Amino acid sequence: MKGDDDVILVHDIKQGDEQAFNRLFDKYRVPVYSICYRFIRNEADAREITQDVFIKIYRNISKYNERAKFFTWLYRIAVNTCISYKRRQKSHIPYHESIGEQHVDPESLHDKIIARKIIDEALMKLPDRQRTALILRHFEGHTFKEIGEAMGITTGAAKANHYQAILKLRDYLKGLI
Amino acid sequence: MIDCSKCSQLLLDFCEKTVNAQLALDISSHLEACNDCRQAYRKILEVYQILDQDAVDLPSDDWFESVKALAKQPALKKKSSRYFAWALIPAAAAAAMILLVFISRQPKTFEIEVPASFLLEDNDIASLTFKGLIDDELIADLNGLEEWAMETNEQMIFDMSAGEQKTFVKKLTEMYLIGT
Ligand SMILES: [Zn+2]
Repeated sequence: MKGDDDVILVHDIKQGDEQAFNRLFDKYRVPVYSICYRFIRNEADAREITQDVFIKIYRNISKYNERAKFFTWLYRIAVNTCISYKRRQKSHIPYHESIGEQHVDPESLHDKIIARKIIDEALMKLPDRQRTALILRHFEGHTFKEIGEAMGITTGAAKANHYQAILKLRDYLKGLI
Repeated sequence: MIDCSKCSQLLLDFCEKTVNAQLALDISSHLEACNDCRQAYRKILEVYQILDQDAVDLPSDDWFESVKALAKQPALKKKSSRYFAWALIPAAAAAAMILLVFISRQPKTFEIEVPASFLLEDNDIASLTFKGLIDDELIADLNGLEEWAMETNEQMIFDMSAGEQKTFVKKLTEMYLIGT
């Protein structure tokens, strides 16, 4: 995918080049799905949101301002779509009594499933912004400046949200530590 | 040399590798010598290690291909989905919602983001966090306020007539120079 610079791709998409959209899609499909999954912690929902994000991207590409990095615009749409989705889920059932307190043996299969649940539960307990900063920093490897741009907050606020997330996870994950 | 208080203030920066080389050396030597700080450091490292095990199972290539094709079909509506119920509302309202989501994330639109930015824009956020000056409650309050504002905006749009929605979107577009 050498030479597939986002600015050029977006320019070509705006000119109606469908192949350019295909390349952009292929480049970002994994990070977008991963961000959505990690935010919402549910495969069916992550699929639905990912689909919606790319529909929005295709339909709103003319609104993208090339002065900002394309992926910060894309990730902002992804995160906002996750947040709206979560809000609209009236039937959202909160997690039951915390299982994070149990102590878990990481070698046992049964405990691996519990461990996964503890991680799901811990991440879902984080406020949206802290979870977003953590996802973009830890899993997607972006700088705090880029995260700030994607979240529409300052670099310092992005860092603060990420640090708060780590400190909270230290407590939420104590069954595994 | 650094002491325990300085070490704990810089621990997250150290883990994130955002401290300079000299400071990193100072922290490393302190961690070697100090059991308490070493324990604190280990706990944070374990959080990172647990997160590293959190794999995402990706959907199949076929699924991605179907999404790619769907995304390029502007008129296609998705079948039964609670989430897409809003797609049935007039197009202007949907457009306004999308616009609002973008707009509401821009610092200019929320007065609260000015003081919040000043408060949170600091080169030593980690130390403030550890001192409890930036705590979860404060961040939750700010986030809550913003969410409330966004929610109110969205509700407001649902309640508008089609004509009002059009005017509203037009005004917003002018005000925030969207798409320019
Ligand atoms: Zn110490």
